[in-house]
Amino acid sequence: MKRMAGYLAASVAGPVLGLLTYLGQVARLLVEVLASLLSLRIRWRLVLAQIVAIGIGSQLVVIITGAFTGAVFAAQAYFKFSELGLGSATGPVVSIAMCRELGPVLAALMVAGRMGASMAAEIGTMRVTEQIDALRAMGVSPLDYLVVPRVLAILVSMPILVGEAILFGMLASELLTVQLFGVPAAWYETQLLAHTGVPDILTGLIKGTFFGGLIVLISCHQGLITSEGAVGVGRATTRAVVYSSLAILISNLFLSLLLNPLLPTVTMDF
Amino acid sequence: MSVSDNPGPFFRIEALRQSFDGHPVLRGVSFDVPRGKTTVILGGSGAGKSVLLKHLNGLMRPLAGSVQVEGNDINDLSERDLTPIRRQIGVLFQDGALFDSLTVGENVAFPLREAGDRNEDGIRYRVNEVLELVGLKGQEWKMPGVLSGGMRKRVSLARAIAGRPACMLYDEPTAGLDPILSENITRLIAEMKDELRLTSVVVTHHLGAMRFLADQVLFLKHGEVRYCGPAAGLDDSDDREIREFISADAMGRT
Ligand SMILES: Nc1ncnc2c1ncn2[C@@H]1O[C@H](COP(=O)(O)OP(=O)(O)OP(=O)(O)O)[C@@H](O)[C@H]1O
Ligand SMILES: [Mg+2]
Repeated sequence: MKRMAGYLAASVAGPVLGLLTYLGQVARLLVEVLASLLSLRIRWRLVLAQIVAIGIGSQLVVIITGAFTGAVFAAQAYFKFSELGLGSATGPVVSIAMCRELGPVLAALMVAGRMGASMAAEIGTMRVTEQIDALRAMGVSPLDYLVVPRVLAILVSMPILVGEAILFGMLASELLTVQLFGVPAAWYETQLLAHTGVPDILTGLIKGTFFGGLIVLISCHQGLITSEGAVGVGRATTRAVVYSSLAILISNLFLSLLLNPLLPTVTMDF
Repeated sequence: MSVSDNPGPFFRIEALRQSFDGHPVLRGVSFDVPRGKTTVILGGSGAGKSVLLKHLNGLMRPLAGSVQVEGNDINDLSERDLTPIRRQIGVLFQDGALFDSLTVGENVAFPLREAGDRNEDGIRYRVNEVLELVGLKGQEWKMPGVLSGGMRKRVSLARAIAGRPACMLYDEPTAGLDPILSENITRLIAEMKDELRLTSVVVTHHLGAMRFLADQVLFLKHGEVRYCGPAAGLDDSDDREIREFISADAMGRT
């Protein structure tokens, strides 16, 4: 009995310790990034290049994700709500869902898949081919040169991408309900807009920006600790995407609980 | 006293220890690298030569022991404080370590721009000059990915010397080059030492180059210094591994 408790403790302690060490490392990276930002050694040319890669390169995926999610959500909501005689609630429910949850979470998951993977692969390859050492040998901080531009770029890009996901989700939901179910467009729009407030959109943008921060920290960290050649780069890439996605989904719950009281939904009676 | 009048050795390495995952790679390595001279490091594959080189400019931190550069212990310096020291030490990495998102020209210009040079004409002139030195004139628009291994190595050499460092660390500068190029690069290293009084540390497997270049030879085996002294003394050594190393090279050249 005692021995089993010992085994149990040991098998729990290992992963817990590993998790704590990992969180510590990522937190340290965050502190170093903040210190670098405060010292204003920012390479704007690299920031711009990263904004192009992250922001512009992710347009299409994020728009498609937003549009199809909005449409399918509207369809399911309309099926059930019209059965219950609540068809007019479709627009407001789509709006809340897209602004507060689906828009930011799905946009962030897509960005994690695209950019998290590419950041970890690029930095990881630089690490195993000694390019990071070469930077350091020339007196250039890999943090200033590689991490900070990506952090700034993602913080600029994420709110825009989330905004687009929300917008296209709403447009697609309208297109679908109007065209397929014959709901009058003006009526759908009025319902939807009446229940979409600044706090809803703000919630989405704040969440998206926070998720962007998670993606860039987790992915750059994986890149920087890469070892063991091509295998290691593959592992870093996978981990960057999986860890970022989990972090997004888990933190989303806590963000919702935290943000909803601060930014409550608007209630307007018609 | 300004650094260049400092009469002591350029590097002083004392009782350096390093290990990875519990496997010792350096076990108490001590030696001096005299200023303006060439020190050649010999040793079998996996002996710890590249690891040793990376301790000289603080890219790796030792488990124990110390590295002094121009009389300053660098162990306790932060990355930022190491910057001025690193900027006067050029490094040729074993596999080149070129930045593959930048062209050849941008790679070579990189250390100049990072050192704060804003004179684009001057930078272009210097880039052409060092590329010509390594036999790669007119290649500055190529991307590193399309270069052959030997070309990458020479671009990397050009990048390392572009900023006119006071000291050069070469990790196998002639490995993977044809005999003619190999000889040219060896001569270039010797010339730079003679003309610029460059302190050089050369890791090589090439005994011919070693005899041509070395003012001092270090033989590393299993992370220990087996020999440290003039090149001539190596032939009289009664250490079995050193004798094997030398006779194997003689056979390789037949
Ligand atoms: N970052 C690292 N992590 C773990 N082990 C390492 C690391 N770097 C080097 N080693 C190990 O240290 C030992 C010495 O490596 P090093 O690269 O210094 O050899 P070397 O003398 O340069 O050999 P070669 O002539 O083949 O280049 C090797 O066993 C290697 O596996
Ligand atoms: Mg080596």
